Amino acid sequence: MRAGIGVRLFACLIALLFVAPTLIVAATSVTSGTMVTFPPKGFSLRWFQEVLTDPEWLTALGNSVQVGLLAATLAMAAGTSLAFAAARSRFLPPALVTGLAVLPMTVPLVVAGIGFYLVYIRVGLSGNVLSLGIAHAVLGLPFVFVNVLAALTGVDRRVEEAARVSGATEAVTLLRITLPLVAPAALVGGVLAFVSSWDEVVVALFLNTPQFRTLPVVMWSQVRSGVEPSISAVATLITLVSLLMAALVLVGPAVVKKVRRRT
Amino acid sequence: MTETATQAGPTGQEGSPGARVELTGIVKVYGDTRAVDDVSLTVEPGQFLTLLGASGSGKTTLLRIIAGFVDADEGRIVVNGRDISQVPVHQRGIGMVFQNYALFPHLSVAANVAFPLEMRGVRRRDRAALVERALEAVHLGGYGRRSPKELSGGQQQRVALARAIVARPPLLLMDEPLGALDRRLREAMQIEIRRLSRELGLTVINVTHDQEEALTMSDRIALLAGGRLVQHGTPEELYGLPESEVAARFLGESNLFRGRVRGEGTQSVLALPYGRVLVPGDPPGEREAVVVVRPSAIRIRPAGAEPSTAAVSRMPGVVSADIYAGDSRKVLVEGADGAELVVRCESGAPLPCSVGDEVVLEWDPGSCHIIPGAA
Repeated sequence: MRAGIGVRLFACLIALLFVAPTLIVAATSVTSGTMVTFPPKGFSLRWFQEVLTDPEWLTALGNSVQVGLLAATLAMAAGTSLAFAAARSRFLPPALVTGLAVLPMTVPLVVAGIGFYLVYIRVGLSGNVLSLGIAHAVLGLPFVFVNVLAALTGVDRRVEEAARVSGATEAVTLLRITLPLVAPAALVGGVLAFVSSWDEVVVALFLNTPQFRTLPVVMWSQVRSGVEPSISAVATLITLVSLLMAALVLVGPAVVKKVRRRT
Repeated sequence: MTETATQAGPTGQEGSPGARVELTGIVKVYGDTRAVDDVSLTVEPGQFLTLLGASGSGKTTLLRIIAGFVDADEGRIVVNGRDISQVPVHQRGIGMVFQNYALFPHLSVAANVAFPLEMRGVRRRDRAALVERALEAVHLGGYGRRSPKELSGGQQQRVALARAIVARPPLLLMDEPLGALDRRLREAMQIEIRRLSRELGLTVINVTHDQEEALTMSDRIALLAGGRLVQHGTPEELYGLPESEVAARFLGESNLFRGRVRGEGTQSVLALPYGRVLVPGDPPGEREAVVVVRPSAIRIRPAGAEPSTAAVSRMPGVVSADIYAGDSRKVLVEGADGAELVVRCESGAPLPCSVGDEVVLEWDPGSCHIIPGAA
């Protein structure tokens, strides 16, 4: 059955509503004026140039990238381990593990932010890549967990048995067979964890110090003192990175498979 | 191809003779069920044994116990004189083929086949030749660089077979290896596997529920039912001389008559309310017995026809179905007690009756088999 013309128009309208704010912000970033206006006055990349040469923005950009990478790495390690526990553990009930692993998705960000803030003050860990990276890793963990768990339930136990009977110990089977089979799923989860860290502002606000701020935090504080087209430029850059990551998730696994086949 | 068989294996053993496998009193209990119930049997070197049984008969559990995936509650597994009951799976040195092939999907065909060699510490430069030889043995030479996903089901099973034999294991286990293949491919693979196991001198333990596969491929069949070993013998013995009703029913079509055998003059007769079954041999006195008559031994004659010879068993009935099956035809006849009897005739010969006709079934006493004491 094909959708009628009316339904299609309606769908396009809804889609437009979704992307309109992003498009408008992107448009305002290429203005040649000094105010955020829509439609933009003239065309220039001066605001991108300003952002990419301003030390404050650049430092924030560096922080965001580092936090995102650390968060993604930690989330991949912890999420994959928890997924194995949920799928394979003989001692832990799977429901308990799953419940714990997806908990960060349901906890309100404000609560998580306050929680991390209080704990970090107590242990003297704050205002650096590590502290925010760990916090974001917890928030990104469910993405990895859910992906890997799904991949793991799809792994045929007899494939692992075939490895065992071929002479592989359990550890070798894990390293050579099972982990490679779930690696693409873990990688996708890691990318999603990176994206969730990349634009996360609530927890980042609680944990920011004047010396350590990520891109969204700097944006937030600048917006409070008046909107400049530089904000639009940063917003556009952030969106582009997120889009790039989404593309990675979509085509990444296929590429991984292709590369693997050649080797 | 015979070169493959006679050349030295990776460990330098010539011809790699198969293992002698002895199972003694194997028991496995799951909750209230005895999945495997005191099974003892011996497989001679180079023998092809099939564990045959319906689902739930314990055949797969028994195979998994031999492989080491399941620990037996009782009993011993001795391979070439060495008790391996406590040896972990990866040290048993067994080859195994799984029903769903269980190839490593992320590895190439060559890497799949090389895996057991790698795990056994065969040097990298020696592996390639062994892998190619194993692939050639299953007619997949040159397929090494492909991904398993690019191959058909039959080809994937050949790769699995190559992986299982590449390291020349003394014992090859197969868990319904042909279950996922269509009939023609299955028959081709039956011959293929048999040829390969003979050439390599492998001891094979194969699990199947397919009696035809068991009869075609095996040197010995171990029939299992309810976790117990029902009968262990050659295919001819199991088909021709079933020792129990279970065996008679499971292997091939059969007509069973149950009752008391009495001497009548010079003959022994199993008297039924509606007919007489002559029993060969000269049994001393009365006894309970089951008489097995294979469908192909029975002739159909029109009702009222004279007995073709004096010494035949006769049984009246009504033809209830006539099923054409290509090279033969299967006729179902309802006996006087309502039980259905199966008759196999040559499909070329004209049938002396049609559905609904009253007929008399005849067979020679020598063509039936008696299971004593079973009633």
